[in-house]
Amino acid sequence: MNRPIVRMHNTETGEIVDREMNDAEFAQWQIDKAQAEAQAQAEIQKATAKLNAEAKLQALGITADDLKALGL
Amino acid sequence: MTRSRDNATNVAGDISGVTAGTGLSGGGTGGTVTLSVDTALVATTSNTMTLTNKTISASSNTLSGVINNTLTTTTGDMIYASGANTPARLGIGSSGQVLTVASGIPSWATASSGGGITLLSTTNIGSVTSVTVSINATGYESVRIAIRDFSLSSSGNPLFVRFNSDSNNNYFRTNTKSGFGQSDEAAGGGGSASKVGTTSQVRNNQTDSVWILDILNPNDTTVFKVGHFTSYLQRINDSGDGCESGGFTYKSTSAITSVTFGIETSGTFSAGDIKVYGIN
Repeated sequence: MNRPIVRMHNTETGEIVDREMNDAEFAQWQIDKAQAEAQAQAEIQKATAKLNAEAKLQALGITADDLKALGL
Repeated sequence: MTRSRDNATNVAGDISGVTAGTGLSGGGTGGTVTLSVDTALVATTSNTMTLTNKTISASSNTLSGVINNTLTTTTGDMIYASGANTPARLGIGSSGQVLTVASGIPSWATASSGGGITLLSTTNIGSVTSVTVSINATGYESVRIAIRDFSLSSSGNPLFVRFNSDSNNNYFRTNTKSGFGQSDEAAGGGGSASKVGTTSQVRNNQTDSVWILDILNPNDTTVFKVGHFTSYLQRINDSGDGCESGGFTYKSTSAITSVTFGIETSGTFSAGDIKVYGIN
C-alpha cells in the first residue's frame, strides 16, 4: 500500500518535493487518523443521543423550548 | 682690442647654436637665445595640465588629495574615512541592503521593512495529504500564514497545523464557532494537543475555505509562541458554513522555521495555496 504523499517546500531554495511519508510521518498520520475517527464517532453518538432525547421529550409532549423556559 | 664674434672664427669651446629639446621651445644660433619650457609637455607650478596614461608606481608616495585606486577591488565598492585623513574601502553590500551607520562608520545592513506586511512565500498545495513550508522570519515581529481557497478531495477530514514538524503535545487552543447551520457555540478548548486543529469535519465541496494564523515573536527563542487564528470552513455534519476563531499557544521556545498543514485522515487536498507573510 502506498503511503500518503506530502509536499515539502524549501522557500529558501525554491525546491518543492512531493514524496511518500517517511516512517515517522506515517506513524504520526496513523495516530492523527485514529483520533480523528474517534472524534467523528463521538460526534455521531452525540448527535444520535440528542435526537433520541428530543424524541422522548416529544413523546411526553415537551419541547426544547419548554426546557429552556425552565432554565434547563 | 675687441674682437667681433661675427667675424671671428669659432674656436674650441664656443657655442654655435642652441637647440630646444623635448619639453623646451626656442633656441637659435646667434644673438640672445631664449629657451622656454613647453607647457604643452611639461607641468609647472602654475599651469594646469591633464596627465593621461601616467602611473605613479610607488604606493608609498604621499600625494595630498589623491586616493590609490587599488583601494577599491570590486564593482560597487565605496571609499570612506575610517579615521581622519584615512581612506578605507567599504565593500559592496548584498542586494536589498541599505547603507547605515554602526559604531561611527558606514556599513551595509538589511533594510528594515519599516512596518507593514511583506509576502515571504507562496506554496501551491496540490494533491497531497500535507504540505510543509519552510519559514525564515528573521527580522519580523510576527508571521501570518494564510491558507487560502483550499478544498479537499473527500469529505470528513479534520485539518491540522503544526510548527517545526513538532507532533508532541505542545499546543493549546481555545476557540469559538458560529454558523455551521446551528446556533453559535460556546467557547471551547482543551488540554495540550499535538497540533492546532480544526474542530470541524470539513466538506470537500467548498473551494473558498480559508484558515489564517498569526504568530507573534516567531524568532524569539526565549518565549513560547502565541497566536490567533480565524477559519472559514464548511462542516460535513451540518448544513452550512461557518467560522471558527480563537487563540493558541505553541509551547516551544524554538524559532518557527516551518509550518505543516495537513489532513488528519484519508484523502488529499485538491486546491489552494499557502502564503506566508512577515509583519512588523
